[in-house]
Amino acid sequence: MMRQLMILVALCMTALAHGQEPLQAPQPEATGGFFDQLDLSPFDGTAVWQEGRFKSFESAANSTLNYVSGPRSPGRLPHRVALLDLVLRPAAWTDVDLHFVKKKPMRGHIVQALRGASNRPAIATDERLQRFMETGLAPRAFLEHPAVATMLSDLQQDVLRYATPVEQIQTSLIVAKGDVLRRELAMVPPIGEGASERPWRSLDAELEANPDSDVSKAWKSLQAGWRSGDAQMVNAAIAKLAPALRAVNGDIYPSEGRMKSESLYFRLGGLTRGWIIYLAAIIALLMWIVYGWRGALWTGYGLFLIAFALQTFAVFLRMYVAGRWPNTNMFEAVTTSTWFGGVFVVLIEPWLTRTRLAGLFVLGAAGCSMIALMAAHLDPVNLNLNISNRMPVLHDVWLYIHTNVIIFSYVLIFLASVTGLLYLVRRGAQRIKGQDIDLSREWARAGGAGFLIVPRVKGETALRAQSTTFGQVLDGATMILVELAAILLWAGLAMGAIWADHSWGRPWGWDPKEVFALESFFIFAILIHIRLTAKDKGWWTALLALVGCAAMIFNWIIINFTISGLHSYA
Amino acid sequence: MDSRPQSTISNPSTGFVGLFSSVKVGLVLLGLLIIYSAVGSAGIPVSYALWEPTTWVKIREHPWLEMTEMEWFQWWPFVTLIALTCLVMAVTTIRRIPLNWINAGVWMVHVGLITLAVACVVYFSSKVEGDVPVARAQIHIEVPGGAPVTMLAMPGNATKVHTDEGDWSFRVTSIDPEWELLSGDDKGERAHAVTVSVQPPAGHEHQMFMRQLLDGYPQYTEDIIRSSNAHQPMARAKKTLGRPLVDDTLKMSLQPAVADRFYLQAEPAIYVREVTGGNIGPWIQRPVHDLPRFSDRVRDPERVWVDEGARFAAPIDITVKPVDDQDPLKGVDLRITDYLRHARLKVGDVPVEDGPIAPAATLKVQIGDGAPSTYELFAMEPEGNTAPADIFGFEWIDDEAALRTAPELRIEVPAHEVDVIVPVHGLADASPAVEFQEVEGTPFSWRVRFIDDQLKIADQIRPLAQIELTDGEMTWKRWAFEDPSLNGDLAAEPDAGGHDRLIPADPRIVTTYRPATGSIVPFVLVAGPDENQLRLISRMSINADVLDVEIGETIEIAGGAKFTVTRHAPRTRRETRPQITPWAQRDPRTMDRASMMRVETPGAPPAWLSMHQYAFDSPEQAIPGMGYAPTTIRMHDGRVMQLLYSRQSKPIGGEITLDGFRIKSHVGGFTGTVSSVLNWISELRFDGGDVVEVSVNDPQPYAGLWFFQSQWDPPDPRGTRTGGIPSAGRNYTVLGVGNRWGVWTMLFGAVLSTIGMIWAFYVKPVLRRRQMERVTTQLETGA
Repeated sequence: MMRQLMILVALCMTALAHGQEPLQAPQPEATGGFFDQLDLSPFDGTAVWQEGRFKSFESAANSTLNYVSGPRSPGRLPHRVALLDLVLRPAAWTDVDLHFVKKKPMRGHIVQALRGASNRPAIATDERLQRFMETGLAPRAFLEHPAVATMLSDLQQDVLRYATPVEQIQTSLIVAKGDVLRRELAMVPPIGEGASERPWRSLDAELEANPDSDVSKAWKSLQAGWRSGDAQMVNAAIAKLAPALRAVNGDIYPSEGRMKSESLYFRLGGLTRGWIIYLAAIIALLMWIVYGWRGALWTGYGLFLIAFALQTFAVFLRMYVAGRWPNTNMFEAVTTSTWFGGVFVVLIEPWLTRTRLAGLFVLGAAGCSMIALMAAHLDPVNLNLNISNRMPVLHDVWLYIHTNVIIFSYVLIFLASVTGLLYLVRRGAQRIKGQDIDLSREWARAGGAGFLIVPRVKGETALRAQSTTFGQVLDGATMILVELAAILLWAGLAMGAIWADHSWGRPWGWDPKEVFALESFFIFAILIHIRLTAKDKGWWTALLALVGCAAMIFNWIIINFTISGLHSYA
Repeated sequence: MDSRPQSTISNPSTGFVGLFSSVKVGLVLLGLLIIYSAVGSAGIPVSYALWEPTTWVKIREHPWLEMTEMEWFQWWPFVTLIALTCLVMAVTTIRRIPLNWINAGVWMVHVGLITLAVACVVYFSSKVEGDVPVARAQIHIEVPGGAPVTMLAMPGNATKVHTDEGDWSFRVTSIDPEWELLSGDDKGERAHAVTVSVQPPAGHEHQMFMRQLLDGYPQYTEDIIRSSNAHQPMARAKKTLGRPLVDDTLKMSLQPAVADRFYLQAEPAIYVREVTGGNIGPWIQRPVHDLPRFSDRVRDPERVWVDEGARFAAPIDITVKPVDDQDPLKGVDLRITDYLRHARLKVGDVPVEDGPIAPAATLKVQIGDGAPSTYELFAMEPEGNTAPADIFGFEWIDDEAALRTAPELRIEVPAHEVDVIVPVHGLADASPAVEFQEVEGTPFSWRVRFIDDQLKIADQIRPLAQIELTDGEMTWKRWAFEDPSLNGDLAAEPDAGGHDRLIPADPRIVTTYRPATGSIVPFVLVAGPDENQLRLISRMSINADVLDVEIGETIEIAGGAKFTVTRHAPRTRRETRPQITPWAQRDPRTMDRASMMRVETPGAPPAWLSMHQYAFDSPEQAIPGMGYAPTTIRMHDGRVMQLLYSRQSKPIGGEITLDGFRIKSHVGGFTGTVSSVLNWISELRFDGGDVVEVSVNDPQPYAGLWFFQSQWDPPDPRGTRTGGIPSAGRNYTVLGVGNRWGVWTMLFGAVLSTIGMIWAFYVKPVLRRRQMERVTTQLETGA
């Protein structure tokens, strides 16, 4: 039954990874298969200056179109192709499902307004509206219809609930305009003294200023080729344009390797699909835990290491292209946190493979990483892959110390909740089976680290003794994690206070994020002390480990996205 | 942390000690702390949709509590819980945990936490926190014969200097924070450049000119004057006149703007000052205690404009006493009777039964499926109309004859005993196809060239029609008014200056212009002659339509425009009251910046005061966009007072000036957006000392306080904060100000407890392992 359940879970997850595709942008008229014949690879090493940083063309296209189509592929085209097509053939996109509306209630309002409009657009068929409800993508004509504009204007008055979604729609409509997008193509580096301190120019500005330059000629040719549907001409123009851009001022142009790496990173989607391998590792490790198959353990280890290697590659690739350690926005905080979990188990597991704890921490880390990467893969709206500059307040050494310590503690809290959950499941199963439970043999007497090193009277640690029950193993594992998490959480809070003291003017401001981090610590304080008084120490430990994890997740999700505070950036 | 059997309770003191050495009591206290903190921080969910902001109801904002987060966590229940937890920790540790190496970790944790708690008490009870705006510069102006004045160098800032000759007007027209010096010894340097337009009094020997002031380079001050070159209308006086300054006697210079007080966070105050003649006294503050923070408190709903169904919390009555001997209202208590969290003053109307006719109406207009717009219209005071004046009008007629759907001309030709009234259906200037029309029975013909119903002559509106007349032999133009005695004909020959010349109107033909009801705007709502009668004139076609209007009924005209009059009151009185913003429309980030209070002053009428971030002395000393609108009240004894609602302020203990404000940017330079900013750096001088840089994450101490980079002046290309004058920003900085007593003790407590945890979790097991190994060895050796 367990096996069937796991297969079912895997199938569900795979299905989740594929959303419904939006309408495709029409091909240029002259030739068929124009988009398929395009070769934009020379642009991989090309830079676009955007929001105070250099982005690869691929990355710039992603971040720009993120304002328009959110997580969806505009017109079922790669972002870089869609961006150029929007720039060069804006009229072709008039009826294409392009603009992403995130919230379903908002989609419902729009559909209602269109259905009730006296002059409903011809393209607003019931089928199209239904499609919009499912994908969230609407053509410009839907959102600019007077009835919808009126409705949005009314909703915007409701500041708390609708102001932001309406602003997102308005931004989407503005950004998707051809002239706005053309300005975004700031790809021509400045020349002369102090060039690195001056803004880059758009291709159009270069064409106007230096119509005979190599860049201008290539850009003109690219435009002509694109509009006429001549893929060969476009490819030739891009092949000339990319080196011509770098040649304008090679001294300040970012390295080709970095740009190509950034393009690769985005093309791989930040390797968030790695969650599928973590899922496979989880299945194998659960089989080891449930059935005790040694082969399953090693399979789990192997799959975990593959997934972890991919995640490590993604983390360091991101660090390279961003030019900083990835921990400054929600996506980075979540994925880096789980990577810390992987590092932790990779370091500790070699000491545990021959003990009763074998595979437990790996299971927790795999679960943690799987959820994080799956969330990033399936919910790119909230866990956005795009790389941007840090806010001024984040330029401080404490960002590296405080934030990393805190997110490391968070992943340990999650790991503890996994062992806690296993403990509760085991106790539940025992109860269902009507087994007698000897409470004195359901908790690790020596606490966390003590469980690892303090020997019993016979000279063997509980960690290795065969007489140790699985309840004691799980309780000991939970305590190992809780103790470390509590120290790191507390130290992280103190470090945050040091940073806040010189950044915001007070070490502690009762900001919701601070308060709920403290709440998590209080819960672990209760957990540690309740083991002194409670009879069923293991059960309370497992339960409070879950409660502590819930508080941590609440802090990360609800407090971040719903209850505003000073820590809104991570 | 051994759990030992509790001793039997033999007397109350033993029971007390036993209670506070109970781990269970400690656990209960921790649980209560968790609940208290969660409720105070996130609130209580009232729906399963936890991700919706509206789900979270903040208990501390309830009218019974009205607390900020800081206040919630300094309230006695929380302090009591913390104190009890510390007590339990202390008693338990001393009574039940022997102090030895094994238990050193627990001791360190508990001692560290208690130290931290005590330090927090010191820190939060002595905490002073606020902010201070510091302007980049001020302009000092000395005009011969006038008193010296200063004004902050802010785009759009203006002032006047009175002299016997007349008023000199000064206005900051532009500021460039990085003006590059293009000549002289300092070529290539950059300076803060302020350009001021100077308007001398009428009749003065000089005309308006601009003076450019460069901070740090007074020697380069120069004027820019009008030139006769059409391609370069403004030119440097140096090149045109041969000298840099138009008027040497006018002294203008840039000086540091001094800030010496900071404003406390969330500590309201009323500022009072007396106005005697032309002199305005200094602001004297009165702290306000127990002012609501989140809820609207209205004693009488008639005092405000509010949507139906609005509910108010219990009314307030707060006495604000003078605390300063210099208070001009010494001995007079102010009373705050109402408080509005989010409101603005709005002029509206209230119906009056026996008042004079003054119709008011609310008109809803919708074009197609577009957004409906609602307008307030006032027949007798059209300046209060919220509708665009060139599209909508509202008129009162007391005679049916006054209802004219089109402009009319009364034409009298005495020689032919002709007296006719003819409608005007076309204007020749707008449509050249409009032809002359004969005046039957006469040789005259006419057509109207244009109409100006808003023509102002000697401060009076004089509707005008310019008519073209012909008698068959000659053609001429006439200005025709409602009063034909004002009419005049345009002479065939212009005057010496080439301007049209008016001569007395040809008496052979007398014309009287009768403007259409509501002028010639496309839509006019007409009330009267019956006071409940309402009609709409629609001029969407050549022949205007007159449509009867019923309240609440929608009229649809050609083109899909829908009009609905939702309210009509023939007799009204105009009143100014606060308009309360509906809850859903309040942006929480606004905090109390849109709040208002109603203040009653004995011996004076009550007044509504709007929140001001800072109590600026005058409009010249105010930072644009931060508001300056003190309320003036006239006391029954004739004295004139000004009141201002702001925050309490405290002296800094010295003077701060802003020497410069730099932006460190990412690659490509500063683009005007925050995303391109790496850091903001305020270059300050404390008491005229050396320049000290305050930037994000890098505060500086001075006079027992710490100063933090808090806000900045961003570019404002559209001049939304500066009266339409584009601003490059960087004209001021806002510094956070605060003390930090007890911080090092807090840090010590946190570090000690961290070390304690490491000891308890990782050193203690090692010690115990060694202890067990010793025991095992002893057992084995039999020692």
